[in-house]
Order: sequence, then C-alpha cells, then structure tokens
Amino acid sequence: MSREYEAEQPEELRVVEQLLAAVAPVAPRLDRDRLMFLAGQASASASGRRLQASGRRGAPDGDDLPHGEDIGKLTHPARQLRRAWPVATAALAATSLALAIALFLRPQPTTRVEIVYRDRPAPAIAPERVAAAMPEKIESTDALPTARAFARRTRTEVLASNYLRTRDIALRLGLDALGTAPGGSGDGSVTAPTYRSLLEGLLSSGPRSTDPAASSASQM
Amino acid sequence: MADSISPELLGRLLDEQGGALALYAAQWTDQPDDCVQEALIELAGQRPVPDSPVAWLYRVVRNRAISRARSARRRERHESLAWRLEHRESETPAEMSVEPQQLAAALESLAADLREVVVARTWGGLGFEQIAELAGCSTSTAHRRYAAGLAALRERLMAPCQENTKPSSRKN
Repeated sequence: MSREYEAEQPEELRVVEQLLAAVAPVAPRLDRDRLMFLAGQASASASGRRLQASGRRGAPDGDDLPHGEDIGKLTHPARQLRRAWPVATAALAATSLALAIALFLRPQPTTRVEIVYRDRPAPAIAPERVAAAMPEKIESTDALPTARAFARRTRTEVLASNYLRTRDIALRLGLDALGTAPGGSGDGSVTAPTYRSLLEGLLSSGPRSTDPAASSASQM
Repeated sequence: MADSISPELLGRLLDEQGGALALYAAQWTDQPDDCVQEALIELAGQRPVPDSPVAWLYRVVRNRAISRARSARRRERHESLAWRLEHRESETPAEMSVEPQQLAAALESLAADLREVVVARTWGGLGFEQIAELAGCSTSTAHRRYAAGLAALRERLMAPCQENTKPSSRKN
C-alpha cells in the first residue's frame, strides 16, 4: 500500500521531497565509545536475564525505561552478589545489637525456695540388735545334743524376734502380749510373762492347767 | 531473526539514523541526543532483535522524548530545529537546494502531526505503514498528513524563491 501512495505523489510534491533530501540532519553529539560500552553492558545484562521469564517484548514505554545516567547503572548479577555481603553483615550486626540490648534490659532472676516432701523409707531392724540377741540364745543352746536341734532352736528364736511376727502378735493380741525386751532388766526381778512363755507353759501343763494367765491367753 | 544485535549493526544504525532520530526527538524534547543514546542501548539489550530495528528505534525515541517533555513541561518546549539540519555533502543543483535554517523554520511552523510524518518519512525512510503504527493512525491518514506537510512546506519554501525570482525576471 505504501508503494501505491508513493506512486500517487504529484510532481510538485516530488520537487519538495528533493529539496528536503538536499538537507541532512546533523549527527547526534554522542560519545561513540561510551555508547558501545553501555550497549555491551546492556547486552550482557539481557543475556543474564534471559533465563528469567520476561513478558516484555514489544517497544517499551518511555516511563518504564531508565533515563540518562541510570542506563550506566544497569543491574548486574556480580553487583547483586557484591551487595549481598554488606546486607548480610548489617543484618547480623543488627541482630547482635538487639540481643545485647535484650541481655542488659531483661529483669534479674528472683530466688525461689521450693519445698519438696519426700516419703521416708521404713526403718529396718538394726543388725546390732539382732547380733546382740543371737549370742545369748546360741549360748543357751550349747547344751543341745544335736546340730538339728540347734538349728531348729535358732530358727525359732530368730522367728520370735522377727519384726513381722512381733507386729502380728501386737495386732492380734495387743501390746501386752509382746512383753519386755530380752535383757531389759538385769537385776533378776520377776518380769511380766510373755505370750511365748505362756504358750509354752500351756503346752507343757496340758489341758488341765489352772494357770490364770494361760486361761486368759486362751481367751484372747 | 538474530538473537542479539551486533556491534557493527548498532554502529551502522547510529551513523545512518542517529541524526534523523535526534531530529525526530527534537520535536518534543530539548535532549534528543540522550533519547537516541538510550534507545540504542535499549536495542542492544533486546532479546530477540526486533524485526525492524529502525521502526523500533523511532518508536522508543518517540516514547522517551514525550516522556521527557512531560517531566520538563514547565521549561521551553524544545530547542530550535535549525542547528539540527545541514547541507548534504552530495552535490545538488543550486536550484534544488534550500538553506537549513529556512527549512528548519518551515518545519517548526508546521503542525506537530504533519511535521512528525514528514520527518519520519523524509529522513527516517520509514514506510507509511510504519509511520501509521508509530503515530497511531491509519496508513491513509499518515499519507494524507505527509502530503499536507509537503504542500505546506512547498508554500513556505517556494514562495520566497518565487518572490526573489520575480524581480530578476523583470530585470531581464
């Protein structure tokens, strides 16, 4: 269509065209070397951005483009990398400063007394007590004729001084049935009869016993 | 379609179209050289290279010049076109030559839409379709503006010549 328009130009206008063609515009005052350098820089930047999706392919608007000296400050990956280190350093410095301020401004820790109640373990039978009781019984059984009888007698005495057995007696028959501790009175005075002595006396006397203590024990 | 523009092509565009582009930008802004430089640099970063780099350059230069004119609205509109034109080095007959200052004055007296089409067509070498796309009008409108611009220039350029020739003819 342009050729049709060109063919339609009248002769008088062709003369004017020839007049205009005799005059040429002046070349722009540009630094050619600088222009080529900036163009190469822009081309390298475009190659770096090529992997990124860019929807702008047409002619850009004037408002979107950098002006004047901004052209020479085109963003380059190396510049961005160089800019990353100062940014990281500044971020770390700011974090350290914030932590230091928080350290100095935090409240002092208060002394807190906490009472913890713990269960106390049950006291076991003192080994000295057992050891103190054992030699008397063993001495008293020296007259036994055989080792079997000795062993049976020792076992019986040990069982008699057992805590559990004592507790059972106290629960079933009362505290009076326990009597006094062996060797409690060394003056040879008469002590209160124990449950054991009463029981042995009952067994030895037979069913016709008239001992009031044995009868009371049987009633219990 | 080339992947990137070569330095040789960029230099050739600068040599062949730099002046016309600056003249074209000078219609709107007083910093036409900066517009041309930015457009050439922008062209170097284009991927892929536009199909018609010359038409692309004119469009970018136009957008930039208008943008600069908006930012510098309070200042003088643009510099004079007079010093943007010079005699071509090629030999032309004396009767077919015109003084650059005279032509610049005639151009400045034209309406903006007519002047734009005349400059793009005469010194840019763009076709009417490209001019129509550039100016945002139809091809017939571009041609009509071009013809009207030439006619107006003819009136302004030829009239003094005729006036100058009339006394001499009387003398003869």
